[in-house]
Amino acid sequence: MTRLLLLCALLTSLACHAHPDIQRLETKAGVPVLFVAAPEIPMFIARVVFAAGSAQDGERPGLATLTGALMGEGTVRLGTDDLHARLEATGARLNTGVERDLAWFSLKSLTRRKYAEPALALASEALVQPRFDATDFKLVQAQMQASLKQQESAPAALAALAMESLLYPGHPYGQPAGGTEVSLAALRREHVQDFHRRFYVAANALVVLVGDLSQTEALRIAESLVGKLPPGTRAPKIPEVPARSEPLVHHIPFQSAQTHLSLAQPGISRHDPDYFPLVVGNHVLGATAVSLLFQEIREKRGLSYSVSSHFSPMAVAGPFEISLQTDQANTAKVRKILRETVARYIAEGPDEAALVAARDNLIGGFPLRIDTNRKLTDYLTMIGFHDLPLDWLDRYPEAVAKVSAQEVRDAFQRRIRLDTMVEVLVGPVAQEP
Amino acid sequence: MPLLLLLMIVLSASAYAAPPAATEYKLSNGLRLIVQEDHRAPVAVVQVWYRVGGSHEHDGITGISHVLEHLMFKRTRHLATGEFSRRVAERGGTENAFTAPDYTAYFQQWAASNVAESFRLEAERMQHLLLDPEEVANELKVIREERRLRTDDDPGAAAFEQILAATWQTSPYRQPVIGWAADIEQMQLEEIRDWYVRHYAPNNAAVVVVGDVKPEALRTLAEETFGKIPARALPLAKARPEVPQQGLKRLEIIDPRLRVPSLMMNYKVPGLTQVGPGEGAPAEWEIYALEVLAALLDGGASARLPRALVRNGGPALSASASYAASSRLMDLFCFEGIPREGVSLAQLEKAFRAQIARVQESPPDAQELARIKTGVIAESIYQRDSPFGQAMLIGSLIAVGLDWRLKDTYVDDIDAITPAQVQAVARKYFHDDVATIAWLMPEARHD
Repeated sequence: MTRLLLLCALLTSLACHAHPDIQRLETKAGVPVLFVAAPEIPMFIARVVFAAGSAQDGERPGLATLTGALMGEGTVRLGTDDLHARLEATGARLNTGVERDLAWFSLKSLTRRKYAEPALALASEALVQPRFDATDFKLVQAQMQASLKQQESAPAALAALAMESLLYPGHPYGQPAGGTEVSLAALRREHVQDFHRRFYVAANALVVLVGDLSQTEALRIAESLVGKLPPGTRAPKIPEVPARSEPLVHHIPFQSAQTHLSLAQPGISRHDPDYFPLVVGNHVLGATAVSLLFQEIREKRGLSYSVSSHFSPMAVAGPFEISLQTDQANTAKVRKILRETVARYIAEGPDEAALVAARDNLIGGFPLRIDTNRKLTDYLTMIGFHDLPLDWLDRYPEAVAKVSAQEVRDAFQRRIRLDTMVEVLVGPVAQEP
Repeated sequence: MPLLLLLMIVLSASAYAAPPAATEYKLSNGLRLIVQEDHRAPVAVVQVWYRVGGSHEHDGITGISHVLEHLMFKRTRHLATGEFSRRVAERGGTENAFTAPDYTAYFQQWAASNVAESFRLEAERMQHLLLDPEEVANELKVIREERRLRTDDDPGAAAFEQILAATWQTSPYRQPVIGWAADIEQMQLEEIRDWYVRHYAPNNAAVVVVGDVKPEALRTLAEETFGKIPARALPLAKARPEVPQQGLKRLEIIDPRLRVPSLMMNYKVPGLTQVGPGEGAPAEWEIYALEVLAALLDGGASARLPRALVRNGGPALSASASYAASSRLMDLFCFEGIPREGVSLAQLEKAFRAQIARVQESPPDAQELARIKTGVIAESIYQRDSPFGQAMLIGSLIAVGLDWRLKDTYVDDIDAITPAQVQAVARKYFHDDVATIAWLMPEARHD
C-alpha cells in the first residue's frame, strides 16, 4: 500500500490532507519512539536523538561537535578499524550529526535479519560504550582546527560566525559550534567522556524509526539500540533569548570581489504562536525565486546571485536572517534597496495575490516534504524533539490555508524590527558604512 | 565476529536488489521519454536533459550553456517573464536547473497530476525562447555575481579551476562550466540564440519522469506536447580527444587565502564511454574494476585511505579518492588530501603513491572485496529512497550516450569483479604519464 495515496483518495479537496501514520511508542525505560512504517524498500533508518547539541557546550565551545564526530568510531571492546569493518560488512551505515539544539546518531540498514541484527548490535555498542580512542580524539581535534583556518578565507563563514555572536551575546546560540582555536586546544578526551556520560542518556533521548518494519520490530529495534543507555537526567532547558533594543552594524574588512551582507534578529521557536503567519509571510518576502527580495534584487537589477530570507525555528528563538552577496562596488546601493524593500513589506504586508500564491505553494508542495524515508526521518525528529503534536504534519496545510494578509502584516509589524537588527558586512573596506 | 560469518553475510546480488521497473519510449521526432514508477507518494519529478554542456563549448564562448540555462527561465512566445516559475510555484512545485560539462538539465518536482503541465511548459521553452536584450544583460550581471561567489572568492574552487586547465591539454574538460570571466563579460546575444537553436531540439533531449505515474499515459502526453516539435539537424560534435601526455605534470598553486595546504593527484583514465572493440579500447570489466578500486580506497570508513592515511596516526587530516566512470569523454581518477600539521605535501604525496603501489603489488583479499561489494549492493537499495536521485541516474547516463539500463546491471557487474582484476587495472592505469599532481599552498616553499 502506498503511504499517501489511499488517504488522498478519501479526500476531494485540492489540499491533500494525507499524512504519514506516526506511531508513538516507548521503550521499557521510557524513551519515546516515533515510528512510521514504510514497507516499499527493504531498509530502515533508526536515529537516536539527544538534547546534546552545541547549545550544551557550556564553557567549552566545540565540545558537542567533537563528541558527535567521535561517536561510532570504535567501542570499548572493538578498535575503530575493527568496528568499521564489521559494520560495513553488513551493508549498514552509521552517521552522526550535531546541531545547535540536538545531536543524532543514525543507523541505516537493510531490513533482512541477518544484516540488521549484527548491525544493530554494533550500533548499540558504539552508542553506549564508545571508545573515544586517544588517537581518534587528536585527529578530530586537528580536523576541527584545520576547518577553523579554512573559514578564515571564506567570507560566508566569517559572516555567519560574526552574526551568531552578535545576535546571541552571552547565550548558548552565540558560541561558535566549531569551537575557537583556544577552546579546541583546551579540550581533552576526558571532557568528551564526561559530555557523553552526561548527555547521551535515556532521559535525554528520543528514537525515530522509518522503514520496512512492523510495530513490534520497530519497538524491538529501539529497545536493542537504546535499552542499555544509563537512565541519566534531561539536559537543562536552553534559556530564552532577550529581545534586542539597539541597531548594530558590524563590518569585517576582507579582500574579496563581493561583499557578503546579512541582516538578522532573533526569530521564532518551534512553539511560537506567530509561527504560521511569520513563515507564510516570509515565503512571500524571500523564500523562493518568485519572492519579493529575489525579484527586486536579482530579477530586476541583477545585483546578487543568491538572495533570500528565512526563519530557523529552534528550541528557543532561532534567527530570522536575510542574506545576499554583491559586487563590492554595489554594496551601498544594495543595502538601501534591501532595507527599503523589507520596510515596505513590514508596513504594507503582502498583497493578496502574492499571499495566495505563497499559501498554494506551501500547501501544494506539502507532499514533497515527506515523500522519502529520509525526509520523514527529519520531520519525526523535529516533531519528537520539540514535543509537537503527532498530527502536526496533518494540520500543516490547514494552518497555512488560514493565514490572512492582515495576520502576516500584524505579525511582521510586531515581530520584525528593522530598527534593531544586526547587520554584518564582510568585504573590502572602501564600503565602510 | 569470526571471519567465516562475515563472509557469509555477502549478499547474493541480483536476488535482493531487483531494480524498480522503468519504460522507455522514443517519439518520432527523436525525443526519448523514460518513466520509472514510484507510487510511495502522490508526487513526481520531471527532468528534461539536453546533451549540451560546458564540454561542447569552444574558446571564447565558455560558459554559454550555463548562460542559456539561466535565460530559459525568462520570456517565451506564450509565457511572459516570470510566468514559468509562477505557474510552478502556485501549484506547489519546486524547480531548478543545472549545467555540467556533459549536459544541461531542468526539473520540476510536484504533485503527480502536474506532470502534464511540466510537459507543456518544457515543450514551450524547448522551441519558443525569446531573448530580450535587456533581460540578457541583466542576467549576465547575475552570472558574474555567481562566478564571484562560487569561484573568484573561493580559493579552493579557484585552484580547482586552474588544476583542471593544467590537467587537460586538448580535452574540453579543461574549461570551467561557468565560463572564464572574460568570456562571460563579452557574451553576445546572437551567440546565445545560436547556441539555443543548435542544441535545444527534441532529438537532442531526453525526458525522465520518476513518481506516481503510469508510463503509457505519459507517452500520450509526451506525443501531444514534445511530439509536436520538429526534429532538427544537430551540429556535428567534433571529436576533441586529449593528446597523449609525456611525463608527469606538476603544478604549485600559491594563494595566501589557502590557509591549509592540500594535494590533488589526477590520473586520466577511461570510463564506460571509451569501452569498445577497437584497438587500445578498454574492456567493460576494466571500468567496473576501477569502480571497485575507488571503493577499496575510499568507499566507506573501513576503506584503505581513511584507515591507513587518516586514522591510526596517518599523515593526513583527510584523504579521498573518486572516479568518474560515466562521463562523455575520458575523465579522471582523482586523489585529494590535506596533510596533518608537520607533514609536508611531498610526504603526503608519497603516502598516496604507496597506497596505489600496494594495490599494484598485491590483489585485495577476498574479505575486503566482499565487504565492498556488500556496500555497493546496500547502497543501490538505499538509493531507491530518492526519486530525484533515480531520475538523475537515468538522465546522466542517457546524456553521455550510455544505455540507462546500465544502472540496473551495475550491481551484477561489480559483483563479477575479481581481486586479480582490481590489481590489473591499478597496474595498467596508474602511471606518471597520465598524472597531474598539484600542490596547493598558502605561500611558496622555502627549500
